[in-house]
Amino acid sequence: MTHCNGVNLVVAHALEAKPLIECFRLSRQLAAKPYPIYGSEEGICLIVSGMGRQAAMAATVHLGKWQEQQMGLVAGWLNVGIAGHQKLAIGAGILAHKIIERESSNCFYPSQMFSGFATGDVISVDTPELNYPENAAYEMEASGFYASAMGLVSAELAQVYKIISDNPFNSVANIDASFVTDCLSGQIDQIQRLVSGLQELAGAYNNAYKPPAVLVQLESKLNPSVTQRLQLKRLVQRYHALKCSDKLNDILEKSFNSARQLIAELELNLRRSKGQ
Amino acid sequence: MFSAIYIEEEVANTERVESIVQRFPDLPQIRCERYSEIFNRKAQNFRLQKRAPAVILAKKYGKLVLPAPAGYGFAASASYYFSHMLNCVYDCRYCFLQGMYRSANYVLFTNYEDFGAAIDAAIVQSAGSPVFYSGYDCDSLALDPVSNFCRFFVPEFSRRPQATLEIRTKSTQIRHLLEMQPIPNCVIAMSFTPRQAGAGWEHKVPGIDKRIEALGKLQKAGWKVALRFEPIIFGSEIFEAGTDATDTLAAYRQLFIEVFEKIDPSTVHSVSNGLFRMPLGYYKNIVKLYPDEALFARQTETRNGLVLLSIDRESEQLEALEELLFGFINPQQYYRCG
Repeated sequence: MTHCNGVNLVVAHALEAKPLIECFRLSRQLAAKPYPIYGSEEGICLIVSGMGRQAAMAATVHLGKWQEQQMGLVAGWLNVGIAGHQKLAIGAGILAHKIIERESSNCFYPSQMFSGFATGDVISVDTPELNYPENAAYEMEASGFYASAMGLVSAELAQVYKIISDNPFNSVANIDASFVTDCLSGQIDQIQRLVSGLQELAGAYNNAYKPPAVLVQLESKLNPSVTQRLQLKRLVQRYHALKCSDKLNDILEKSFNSARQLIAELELNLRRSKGQ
Repeated sequence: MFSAIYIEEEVANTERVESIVQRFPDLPQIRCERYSEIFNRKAQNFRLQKRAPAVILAKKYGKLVLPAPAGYGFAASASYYFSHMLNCVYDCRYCFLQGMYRSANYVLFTNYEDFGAAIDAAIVQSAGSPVFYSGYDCDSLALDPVSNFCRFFVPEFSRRPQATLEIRTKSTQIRHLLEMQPIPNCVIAMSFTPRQAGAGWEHKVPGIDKRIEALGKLQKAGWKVALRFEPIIFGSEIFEAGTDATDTLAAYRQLFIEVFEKIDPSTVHSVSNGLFRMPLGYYKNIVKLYPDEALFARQTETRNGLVLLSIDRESEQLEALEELLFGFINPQQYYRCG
């Protein structure tokens, strides 16, 4: 999967994954171990992390590393799952605007990039919360997911969406397999909207920051040092930004003995360019 | 206008915050301990965040009034700036704020009374007539309907006639000012660049015509107005045909004609020009943020920690521009921004 607008879904349980796998037509990636990972041609990927924040943390890191080897592009990240809530009705969905990890009291604030969603506080707990003391969604993965995702992407590209499965009037004891799947299915339109939004954001990010294609060729041909690689990258970016790609191509057609020689030539030509 | 409102616990129950929050009942309201939790955190992308900025209502601690950077303003006397807000609702590509802050969210410090006290303290310390600039870290007028900046600070300065307030802006939000009696020690300074530069780099900024109209209304109402032709960026592809300084000068000539058709130069408080320049650290951050922006792909040089565009015959061109300007104003009204 080499997609410039990919989105990764992180879910705790296979039951939560099922409607998402169907909706996004995901297929099992057999090469991926030890977590079950599903993917699509459209760049949507899903990992089943297991329960709890440590599991969510580890799975998110795992998927990030797995993709880094595969594509080197940034993806959007979305943790989806069920949660309990003091006030919200069963089946309601909320986009997290604040995630509080009860154990550490650490707070995370996902950037509010998407309008038209109900938002709320999400409290990540280590054992199921049955008393719902605050007006918030109680669940077990969001803080672990978000802490890991922040090591992979910027805050705008990681979001948490929770669907209410239990509240003071509908006990967690009533949750069964089909109920979980129904909860997710009932919010599939909103989840699709979020995924589309994240795809668009990831696309914008990658279009702005992905390394110029020609750089890969140059690197394999001239074996530059780390510093030279950065210099080359910036020079190529400058040629493109200044709409001098033709001139860049002319220069690259010449043969150079070293990265240093090429860098000198690129710099010289930029200085000679109009307006410089 | 905003994607969400973050509210520091400490200011949550203040009258000013409550009145702001009431204006946006449908926005997510998110409590936080300190604004820095959101504003200063790592792993943020200013460019993406600019698509959906939030506002953070907070209390400002520490130094609320600071000495203005050298060459910033018009006065030889003591100059200060204060920022009741961090970040700007506009998105000017040449603006240093993109490189200064990690976040594109707006921080609105609502403890205006503390700013008033800090201004008093600075006045006491200063000999002569100090000038206080607002609009260094934000555009003070752009959010005025929400912040009520003018309704608080203009009366504050009316009680401090020995000091001058300059409100630097690109905004047309002048309603609150027009509702007040003008005071002699408040200057509304409107920034302009030529039409082509505006189209290329000044995103979300009101058009030149609207800004001229707003400034004209203020002038007619009796407010002191000033003109800031900054930043000047010579020899850009923005000015079609590209490299020739005459294109830039022609664009400025047109701008001056449009401005002075509506603004009476005889009562303009001051007029300034200033070249594009930026602290090196901010510039590096912005290049990373906008690697595809032609303005930042141009040849630069660094002098005294400031990045400047490398321009042939820069000082000659600037002088030519000044000559052009002096065809419209008295040179005594003019200063060159350092």
